[in-house]
Amino acid sequence: MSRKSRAMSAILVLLGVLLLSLLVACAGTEPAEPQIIEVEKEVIKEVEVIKEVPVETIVTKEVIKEVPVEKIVTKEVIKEVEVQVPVTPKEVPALAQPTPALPAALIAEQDKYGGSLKVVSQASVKSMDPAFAPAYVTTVTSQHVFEQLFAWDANYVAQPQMVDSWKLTNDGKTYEITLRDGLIFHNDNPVTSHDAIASLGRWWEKQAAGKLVFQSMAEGGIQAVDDKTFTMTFQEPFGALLNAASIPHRYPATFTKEAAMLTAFEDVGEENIIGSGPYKLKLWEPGNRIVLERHEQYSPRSEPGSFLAGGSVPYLDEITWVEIPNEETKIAGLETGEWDIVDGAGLDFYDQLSMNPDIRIASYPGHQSTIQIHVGVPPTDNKLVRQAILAAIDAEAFMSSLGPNELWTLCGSVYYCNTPLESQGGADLYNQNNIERARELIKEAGAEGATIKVMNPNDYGTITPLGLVLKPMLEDIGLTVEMPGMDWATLISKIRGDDYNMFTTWWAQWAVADPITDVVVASTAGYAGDYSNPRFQELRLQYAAAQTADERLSIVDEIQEIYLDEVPKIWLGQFSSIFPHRTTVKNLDVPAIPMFLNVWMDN
Amino acid sequence: MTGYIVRRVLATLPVLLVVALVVFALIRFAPGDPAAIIAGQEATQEEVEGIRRQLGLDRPLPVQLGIWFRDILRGDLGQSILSKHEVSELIVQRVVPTLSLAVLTEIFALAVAIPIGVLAAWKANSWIDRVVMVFATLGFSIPVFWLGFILIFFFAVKIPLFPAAGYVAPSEDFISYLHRLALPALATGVIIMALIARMTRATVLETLNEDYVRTARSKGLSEKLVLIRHALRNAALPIITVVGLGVAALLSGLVVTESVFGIPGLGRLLLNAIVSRDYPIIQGTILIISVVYVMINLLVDISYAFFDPRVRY
Amino acid sequence: MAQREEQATPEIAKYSALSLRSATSRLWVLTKRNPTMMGGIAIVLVMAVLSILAPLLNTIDPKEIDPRNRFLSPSMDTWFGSDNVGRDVYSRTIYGTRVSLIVGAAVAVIATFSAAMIGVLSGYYRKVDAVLMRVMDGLMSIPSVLLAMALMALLGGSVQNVIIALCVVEAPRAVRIVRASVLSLREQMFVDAARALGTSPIRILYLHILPNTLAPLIVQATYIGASAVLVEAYLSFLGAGPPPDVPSWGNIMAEGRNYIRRAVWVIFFPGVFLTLTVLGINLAGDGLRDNLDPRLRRRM
Repeated sequence: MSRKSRAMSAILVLLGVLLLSLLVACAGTEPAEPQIIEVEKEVIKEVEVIKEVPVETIVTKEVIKEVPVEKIVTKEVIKEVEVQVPVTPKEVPALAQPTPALPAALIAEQDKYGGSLKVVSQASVKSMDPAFAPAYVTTVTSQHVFEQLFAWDANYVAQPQMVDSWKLTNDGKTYEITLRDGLIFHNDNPVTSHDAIASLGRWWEKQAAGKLVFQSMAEGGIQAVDDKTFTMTFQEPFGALLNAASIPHRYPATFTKEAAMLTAFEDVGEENIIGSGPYKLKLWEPGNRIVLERHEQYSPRSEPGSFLAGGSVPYLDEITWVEIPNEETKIAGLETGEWDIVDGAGLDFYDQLSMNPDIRIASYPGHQSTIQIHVGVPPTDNKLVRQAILAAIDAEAFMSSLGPNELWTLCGSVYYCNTPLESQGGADLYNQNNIERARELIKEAGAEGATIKVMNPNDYGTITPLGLVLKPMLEDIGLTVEMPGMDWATLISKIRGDDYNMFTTWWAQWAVADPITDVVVASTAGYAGDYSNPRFQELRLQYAAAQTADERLSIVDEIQEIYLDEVPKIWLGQFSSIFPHRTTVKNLDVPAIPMFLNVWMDN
Repeated sequence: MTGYIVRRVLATLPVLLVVALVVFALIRFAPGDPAAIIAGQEATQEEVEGIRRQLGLDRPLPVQLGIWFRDILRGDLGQSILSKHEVSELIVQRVVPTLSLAVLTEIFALAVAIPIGVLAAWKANSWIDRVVMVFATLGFSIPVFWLGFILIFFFAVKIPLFPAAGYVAPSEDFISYLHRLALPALATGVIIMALIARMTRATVLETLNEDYVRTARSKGLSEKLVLIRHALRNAALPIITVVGLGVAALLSGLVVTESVFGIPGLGRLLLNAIVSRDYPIIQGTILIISVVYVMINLLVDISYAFFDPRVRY
Repeated sequence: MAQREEQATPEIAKYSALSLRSATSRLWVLTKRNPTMMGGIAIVLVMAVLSILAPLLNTIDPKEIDPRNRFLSPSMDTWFGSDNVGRDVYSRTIYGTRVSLIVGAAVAVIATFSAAMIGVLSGYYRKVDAVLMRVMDGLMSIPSVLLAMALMALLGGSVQNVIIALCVVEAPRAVRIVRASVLSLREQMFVDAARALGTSPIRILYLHILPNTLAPLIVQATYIGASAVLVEAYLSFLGAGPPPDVPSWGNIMAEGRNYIRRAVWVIFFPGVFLTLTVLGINLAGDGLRDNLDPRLRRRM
């Protein structure tokens, strides 16, 4: 055996590895430039969809809404778009989502029935009990199974869903609520007012908005009149019942009375996942998949469906949520048609997916990136330090770390932009990006070199980058930063302790939409030093009693000014979650959470 | 012999007790409160406490440990904190995917490892031997998840030969079931293959140096016959051993592979449970995995004793 | 690459000083006898040099972010491209060599050392043996990645804690090996003789037992080092590693896994470095084993 061949063996291996690396590197860099031509195609297709929409639905609404066309009209291609599209891009966002009744002119109603929709769940579904578990995936899956008395339409306005009619007495204290006909549980029993009352009880056992409702009610204020009708009587005039009861997350789901009698501090168990909604639970393999099937006895409301309100028609035979743990594999399966929708795909897949003619992207921009500050631990117990941190914030740096520019916006309003509660209160204090002022404030507070403990999760795609931006920024204004690695589970378990100065997180408009659901204003969370401000609590009650939108907005203005002066939390901006789906999925829009009511498959 | 087996089986009990204690202690002292995780960040303090009370997590740890032990002795692994599903049921649901992947992985690994291991031993110290061994070493030097992603990138994205992820039960569609498990089995198989190839080479090499092989050779038997009739047969036992011992590496590898390829197996069950600190699932699954591991070791030891009289009991 | 240099040395050696010549020729003999081992050692040396010289190798601060320049493709300016918050993957990878080698070396040394202590105690004093071995068996029967994850959850994410967790995970196997060799040694004639002469147990341990277990232990240490480098990556992949600003290969890959098609370079380059390093350590370990303790071949 020659000397050469021996040495060659090792060299060969190393060369092989290097070759492989070159190959992969080359293959990887290939699709870096987007292909404009494909984008054009996409635009034409969208236009076709728009043309199907009869004129009467072009209602101008100020709504944050998924806007498919916006994503296509990127800066490079805007000219082509204008040449080919009779509708200017600006008009498109104003379109209401096509309601199911509309394309009926083109597709016979009965043809829309059938098909099985496969959705990749955003996370593992651990519980389907919405009164027990506040997880996003619990809300998304269970909203198809359970119904609410009142529900949000696509403009976040409460509309009756299970309710046929309701009236408020002249003194503004007593609501009389009558359930609509044809409500049937999945166990074939009719829904009665007793089920509804028991279910409300399960809701206000835990949920903040529910608690406020309960506490505002008179003693024994909820009474069944008959099987269809019940009354709720309040101590003072109460304007917020519909708002509070229509929130889509941690919502007052209507269980059967037997299930509703169980405590909300524990899961009702799979056997009690019995609602009256358009879909019923068929199969649950925990950690793998959940299959819902059509509830044949469901009779939708006669109004056109709009998000959770109106007629929710179960066109699909089945909806399956599968659990795929990895972002990359979620997308690969969508592209090959393994599944039809990815709920909450990684934002950085956006560019790649928008080039795919088989895929349409719905998006929802109502997520607010937030830094929550502990007000009970030095140095952040000092208001000056908190103000210094607020002054230093370069919101754009934070937001751009989360994903492509199309998917985030700067927004100085605490209750989100493009909502009825968008406020300008204290607006100049948002996104100051003023390191000099921050350093001065730190000096004034005598906190130079003080140690700040930041909790930032290792394993949360839309939060982790925030800490990476925050740490050097805090160091820049003269603070020392400790940021240990931890998973989200650890973080969430530590927020009620005192071993940190701040943590990074996000809030969604479907969960914290107003002063009623805002835990900082309610001072009930018991974390981050249990920030409590008597003025906040007063304003919250005023908000609950307020009867007009103007009144509510002026209350929110004041809340926001206090926020920006006291700085118990810092909001950085809003980012979207995206719901890429195959174009065979029709009529899918996501005003807040992805609901598959009125969605059908074109096979 | 029977006495030996009984003694060995009894000896596993304290080991399992240690596992149970270590697991319980680790996850209970680790930060992460299932009640706080369930309640979420917008929950009130009293809500968190209410859930904690309801789940029995406010009881002193020794009491909770006692309850757990009592339940185990009754053969009850408890219920998921979150969904109330029986842990034993969850584990049974997950066994098939994990076992399928494990078996396919081993088949793939053996099919490649034994021939190349024998080849390397036969051509010991030649360049073939060195190339084979360097590649075998490379096999267990690659992080499984990295290999998994690179395989997905090439064989599911660039050239879509395989589905990127997911699992189909064999009863639903057998071809699709195999098709989906092919890439993950390949990714995990590379490590196991590397281990087995090295072991095969070492043992075959050793037997080739034994007197009886030399005798066979000197009798003028062909190399092929010597290799198959004597060397490989005598090397079979140690190879079986390494297959058994490789189970530890296999289990660790599977946890990661399952999460890369989205296979609903035991590893995924466990990782999901860790994320939500679902104590009964974590405790139950790790305990079961350890029991399997200990049992395989036991079988290996016993088969050793059975086949090789030189082992003293 | 390293091999080629090795090959060139004898020619040069002819013209250099005698001592150097003898040293290089000895090196050459070793290389000839075991080229894969020398290849492995060469890889490890290259990585060590990279980690020491990291600041000089055209790197920038590996923690420096630039969120407005995310996912730059590899180019002349950013050799390995940039990641999701605009950090330079090349700089992070090169600095990652430090983290990985420190973790590998620290775990190898600490785990081996403590394993030696425990193993000798256990092998020599039969009373503690029963308890200690059950604990070791218990630890070994929990899949290592899971045990390390649980320990990390308990300790909190930092590089030191990764080292501690990996020591707990890796030590039991080494304990077994030390114990086995102590068990066979204590029956040997020379130990009996020493005991008969009234040598104290400590002295026997120190003089006779420990030196004789050294060879298998050193071999084991290299394998532990290799395994530690790998498991660190697994921990980061599973979200249980050091904080995400620390430039460890595991962290870089953990972030890159979500952007394989968008930016395959983020996961690719650290993966190649990691694989090469672990390969190098393993090859070196194999070579050491062959040279130091041929009997260990059986245990791989």
